Amino acid sequence: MSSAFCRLIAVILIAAPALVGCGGYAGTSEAFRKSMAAGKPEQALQAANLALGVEDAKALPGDRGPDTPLLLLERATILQAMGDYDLSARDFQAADKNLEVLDYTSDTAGSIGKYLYSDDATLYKAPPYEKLLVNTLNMLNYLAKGDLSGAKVEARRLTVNQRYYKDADPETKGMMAFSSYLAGFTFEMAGEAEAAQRYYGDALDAGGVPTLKRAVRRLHGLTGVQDIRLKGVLKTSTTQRGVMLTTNLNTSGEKPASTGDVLIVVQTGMAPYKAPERVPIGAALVAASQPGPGERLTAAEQRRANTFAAKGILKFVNYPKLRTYKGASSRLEVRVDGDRLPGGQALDVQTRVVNDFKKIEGSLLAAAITRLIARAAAGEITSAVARKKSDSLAATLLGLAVEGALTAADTPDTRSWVTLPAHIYVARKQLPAGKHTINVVVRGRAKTAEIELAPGGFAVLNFSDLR
Amino acid sequence: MTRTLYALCAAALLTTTACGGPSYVRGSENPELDEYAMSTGLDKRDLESLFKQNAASLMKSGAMNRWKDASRAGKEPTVAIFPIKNETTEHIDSQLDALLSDFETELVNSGYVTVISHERQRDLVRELKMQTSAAFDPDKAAQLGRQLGAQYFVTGKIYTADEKTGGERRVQYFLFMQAIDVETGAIRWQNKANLTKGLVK
Repeated sequence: MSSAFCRLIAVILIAAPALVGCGGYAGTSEAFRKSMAAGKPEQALQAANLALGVEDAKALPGDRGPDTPLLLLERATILQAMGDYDLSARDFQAADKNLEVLDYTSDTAGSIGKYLYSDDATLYKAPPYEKLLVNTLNMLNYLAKGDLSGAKVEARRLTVNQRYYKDADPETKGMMAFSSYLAGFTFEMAGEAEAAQRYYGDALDAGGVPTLKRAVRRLHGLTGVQDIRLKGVLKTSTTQRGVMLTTNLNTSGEKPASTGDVLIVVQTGMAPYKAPERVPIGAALVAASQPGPGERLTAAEQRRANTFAAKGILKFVNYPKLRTYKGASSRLEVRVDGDRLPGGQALDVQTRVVNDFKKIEGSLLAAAITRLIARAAAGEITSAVARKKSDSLAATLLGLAVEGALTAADTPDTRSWVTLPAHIYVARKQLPAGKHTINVVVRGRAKTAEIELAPGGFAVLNFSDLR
Repeated sequence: MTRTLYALCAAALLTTTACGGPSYVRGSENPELDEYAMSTGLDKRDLESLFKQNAASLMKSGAMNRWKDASRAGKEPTVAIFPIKNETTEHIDSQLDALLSDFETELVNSGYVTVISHERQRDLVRELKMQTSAAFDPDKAAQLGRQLGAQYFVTGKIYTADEKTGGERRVQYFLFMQAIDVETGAIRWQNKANLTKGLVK
């Protein structure tokens, strides 16, 4: 064999397995995912720090690896669940910036790697629902700290993303109700009624959130400010000029100084995550050839795959499968001083993740089969070229080695924000200023918090039960 | 067939780049460090630009001329510097504090006014349970002014027009600075400075 050819083969054998991590993100995230599922956020935090390569949560990773933005999101979620809103906000901000940079980064090497080695070889591009939830959950951090200025910054960042996805991915609209509601609450508490009603209008437009209508009516009663989309909620009639006339409303104008607002957010369960799964080639071929959204196998690729399968070269396809936690949907109860608080589910992340995955599952399988074909072809090419230069057995072994090296590098793309809550609930009420006891019961587990509500003030409490 | 093999190798080589550890450097040793933008937030160069635009306008304004005249007449006005209201899409509160400190320095060194530290105002706002936007409310501004013994406020608001497309994100900053007469609420000086940051492919 020529020395140049030998060098090429050596590069493939050495470089290919080193291209991606052995277990992919499913392996990287397993420790903190399982700790969170077991209700042990402290252990999860340690595991997240280990994955980030830092000693503790105060440190940000100096050397940014390909999974750093995702790992920062995971740590931010864990810290939020533990009530460390300062560090959680810092991590969300860092992740937000990193994800944005990735969005605008050209990924030529990743695109080639995706075709030849693995989907995992590409830079991580967060799906719209993850991007929107970064700003939403970080807004929650600032609200929990009582920092309206910081919460408003996140609300504005959210608006930029919402505007972008409204055009780029109209189906994201359903995800925007809770986010817009939280933004509306932020501006209402900051005394900016017009912006608040605009966000409440967005929330209603996106499907609504429990306690939204009550908030809209109350704010309108206090300030007279409204949004045209809230017409139905305010039971109004519209003049020909589009000026809204309100009926049956309290228009006293003054916010009662003896009361304050309490907003309680409860995050439960964890969103489905991706795990690698081996599927027999026959079943995979059928699934990847069905019509549906995304790229599917062409007739020529199907023929090629069938040929390799018939020779026994292709047996299984390794691809990411979505795994859902059992019982992620929760019954919960929120009480203040013993009285039940109005509220309900504001966001079903789980359904969104499942629906999104259904749309891409066929094309993921098709891509995995295409790579299998490429690897099998590479093995055959190597054997054929080597056979001309050396004996037949060595050539066959070399071909198998090349194919094996590429197979070892094929890690299914299991990247996603795995600690994302499956469901988010809200409860909200105006309460007299002073001390109050909040009780939240999720799946039989009770959590309690004491608050001191200032006259005309607000309190936002977050309870995360991510298991 | 061999082309596929070469493509495989090229792909492998593309991803096997050399690794080197990061190292700390000084701006004086590496002047380029201050030149390039590292985010869409505000950095040293942006703050200098915003400060210069506003300071130049204030120094040649009618308000400054009146303060000079009053100072020469032995009635040096007292000016309080109030936090800049952040209405942007970036967490830049600490950078805005740095900008205010630059203003404070400029006014102190002018020698025509007595300046009340902007740190004092922050405490007072907290004591009075007001928002940092209180200086823009004439009633609250008068109340704050009386508490501080100030005749004028220098303050500001910063906004962004933030747009995002598939190919770039553009953040346009607009900083409005004002000098407000505490007693009347009248704006005695106002200036707008702007700059643009972006993230492009």
